[in-house]
Amino acid sequence: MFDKNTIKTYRSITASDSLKRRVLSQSTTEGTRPIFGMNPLRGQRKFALAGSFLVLLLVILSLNSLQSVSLHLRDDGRPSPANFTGEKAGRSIDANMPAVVPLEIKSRRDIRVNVSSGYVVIADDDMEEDPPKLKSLSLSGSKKIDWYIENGGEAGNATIDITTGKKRISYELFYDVENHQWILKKNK
Amino acid sequence: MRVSSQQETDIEKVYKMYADMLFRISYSALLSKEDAEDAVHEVFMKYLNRKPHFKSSEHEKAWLIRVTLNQCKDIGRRKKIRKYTPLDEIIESPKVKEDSIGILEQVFALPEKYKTAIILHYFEGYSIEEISSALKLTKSAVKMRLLRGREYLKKEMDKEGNDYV
Repeated sequence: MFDKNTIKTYRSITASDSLKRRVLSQSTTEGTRPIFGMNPLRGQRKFALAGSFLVLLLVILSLNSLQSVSLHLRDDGRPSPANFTGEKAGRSIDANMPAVVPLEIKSRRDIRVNVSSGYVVIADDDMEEDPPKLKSLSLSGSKKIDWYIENGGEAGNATIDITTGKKRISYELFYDVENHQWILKKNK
Repeated sequence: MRVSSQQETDIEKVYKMYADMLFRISYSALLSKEDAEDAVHEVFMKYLNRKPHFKSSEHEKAWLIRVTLNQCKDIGRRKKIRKYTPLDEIIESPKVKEDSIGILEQVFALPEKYKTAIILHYFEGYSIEEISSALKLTKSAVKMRLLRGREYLKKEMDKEGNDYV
């Protein structure tokens, strides 16, 4: 395939005498070998390997945290007398009126939402038709949803479950009679 | 601890037999004299330190080629900026024709997997079986790399208006 001249030219590439001296001199001076064995790169590799494990661990931990799901009350102009700040927060709604709970679910994975009472709809202002009223919704990633409880006073304790992969979180919505307000609380 | 004089003799023998070939393979992979020398040096250090047991000289040769290629990949990954050595600087023979250098430069510019197969087969004279053993590939994979490498090279040569046959 290649002519003789090209092969001859290739074969004329040879290792230098200095390389020979370097290799053969090292072959007789094992005492110069550094720690971690005989090869200076070996020690570096051990560190690199340890570093790789650490990076892997961090990646796994961060992936785990990415899989987490959070649920927030949306601030999108709806009356929201109390802020939902986490474990326990109130939302003043008349118990006898339908409760609309505007929520935002943040997740990087596919999720499934189930409610025990009422129904959920995807909150989409551009939607021309009424969205279907469902007890269960499959969503991909972060979404805004509205959870409707037809008659707040009769709903009792309602729960919303969010499932992603093997992870499941549950929030409970109930009416606080003493303080006359709805509470949305994350179940432990 | 010092290595025995027998080992010194062995390493000299192995160096004499394979150093030029390993240097050529390393240079074709790294295109830097300095890095190619580092790669070959490292390979011989591994040979000395690991004292691998070989079933035959073919086995030894395949091990050396494989370790050299891995060493080149390692250097390529570690050193993002390398000192390029033009081909005509490492060829000492005054009789070399410019055409040959041009063709070799085209070969050295091939994608790594094609280049290795082409160099081992056409320039170092290894059989497909030997290459498959050294690269731990099936024979058909080696044949495919040779075929694709030739096609790639032909396309590049056609662009330049060269003929390598």
